[in-house]
Amino acid sequence: MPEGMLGLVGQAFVDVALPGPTVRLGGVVHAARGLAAVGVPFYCAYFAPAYLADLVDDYVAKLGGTATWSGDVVGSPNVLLVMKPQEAGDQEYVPLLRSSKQVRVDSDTVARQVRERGISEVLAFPDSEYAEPLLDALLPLGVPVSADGDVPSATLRNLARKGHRLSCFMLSTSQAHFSRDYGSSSSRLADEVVPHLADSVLLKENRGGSRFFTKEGVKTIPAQTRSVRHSVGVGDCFSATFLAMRRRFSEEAALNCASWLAADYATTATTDEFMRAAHLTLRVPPADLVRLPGVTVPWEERASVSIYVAGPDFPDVDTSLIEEVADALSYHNFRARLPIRENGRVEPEMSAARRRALARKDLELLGQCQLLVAVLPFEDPGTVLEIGAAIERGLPTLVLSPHPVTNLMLDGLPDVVTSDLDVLITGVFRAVSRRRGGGHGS
Amino acid sequence: MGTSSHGDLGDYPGGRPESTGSASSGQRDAENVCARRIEDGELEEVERCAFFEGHGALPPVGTDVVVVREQNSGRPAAATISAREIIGLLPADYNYLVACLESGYSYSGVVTLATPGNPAIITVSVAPVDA
Repeated sequence: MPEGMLGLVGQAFVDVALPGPTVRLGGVVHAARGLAAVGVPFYCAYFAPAYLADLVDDYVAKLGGTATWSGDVVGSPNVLLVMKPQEAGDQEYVPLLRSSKQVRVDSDTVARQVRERGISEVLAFPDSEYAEPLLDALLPLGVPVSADGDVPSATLRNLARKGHRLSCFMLSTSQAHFSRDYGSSSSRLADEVVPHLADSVLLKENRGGSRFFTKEGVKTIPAQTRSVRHSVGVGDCFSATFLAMRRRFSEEAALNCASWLAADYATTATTDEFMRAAHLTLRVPPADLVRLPGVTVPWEERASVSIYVAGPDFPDVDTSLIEEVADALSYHNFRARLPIRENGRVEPEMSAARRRALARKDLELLGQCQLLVAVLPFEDPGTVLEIGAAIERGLPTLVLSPHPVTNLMLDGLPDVVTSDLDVLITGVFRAVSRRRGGGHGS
Repeated sequence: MGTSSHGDLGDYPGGRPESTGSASSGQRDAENVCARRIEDGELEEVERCAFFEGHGALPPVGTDVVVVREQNSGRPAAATISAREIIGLLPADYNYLVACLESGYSYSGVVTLATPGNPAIITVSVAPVDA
């Protein structure tokens, strides 16, 4: 395993989380925070608009690293609006002036910087537009190069034709190229990439854990689910701390440690808090981290999990919260089943027999589902009855209510009662993980 | 790096000001999370733990407990002070206690609720023990 300085190559952004707003340096700086926390020396070759250069240099120096402004970004301030910081569903990133943005990188210059500084390992975060020339310049340096970003599969194949391959190709199930290049299939991703295009693949699956594919097989690492403050840059932190910890421990231990550190990053609001949390995590022997359970729900398994979304889904009601829940479940690849939209809605002139038949169809649909999520913008009797039916059937039952729930049965019997969509989604992952008997690494 | 919430580089809500980020800064503060009390924390796997398996019943409310690590999984668990019999496991949200226990913290408290059923419901309240 390499020792010495780890090089980070990528853009620096200004992340603006809404509402608030709260403003933090992001992009490659997320990885830098991770490396600072685990005490691995690092160097940042970053690309950014000129106005950010001094800010990034100063900040990285305070983290204990060194940085060089290595590429210009023009036509855009490189500001990323994060409409929903917690990633209960789509975070709705809005990169300002994306269409006019140009990243001007001299890949040979970046490679020379890496060589002259004696960097022993590189983690790059490229965009698809410059991934190939950048990696083409870095890979011949003879140090392990990993990439976390939009590296098109065609780029990987072009590099392989020249005899180059990545040490680790890292991506998340929520990134567009997982769908674009691999049809959202982890098996296709692993089969096509390992071992000829990369030695390994790290697939980050959000709250469902992660998987590490090599030619020897696959390691499944559970996610540590806690109360999420934000999900911005958590994956970048995971990637960087994995490479850092792999220098000291086994791959499995390093992956589990990185999972814990990523959870620390997601649950803390400031760099100082993160450093303190990471310091605590690093006290635990890595072998113990491997043993501790978490949440494991592989991406492709979620599509077979049908979740009955109960709620007052009526034309004269504001259904935006129901739709938000259904969208969030679909974002995470679960199958949201909305009874009114599948079976139809009762009409005033409907006969008693038709109403009975429709009610039965809804209960039959409930019988096809593995969980119930109820949305209660108000106490709708039909929804409450469906909650009871699900509980009686032994289904995990979760309730999202923007208003306080005071009724004893409604508050005391479901598995989760919350006003927070993030807590609801975490509860879904936990329930599904428990049902599959998962949670431990393998 | 600026602490204003109006457009300057700063923090997520509820956090302290963004500053140097040194890993060694404030070791005394590093255990803030370890200083937390746990009020009515519901235990998991009660029926599969040593106390229920050995006694066939739940511990009564008021039973003194300590937090230990379960041998097989390493998970934080509540156990009787006297015999160190594990009553139940603390949920994954409390996994951070593993790091706190490694840092030298210890926790004690009592059983606050014990209701038989399927599953049984047991809650504990614990707090760090003064050194």
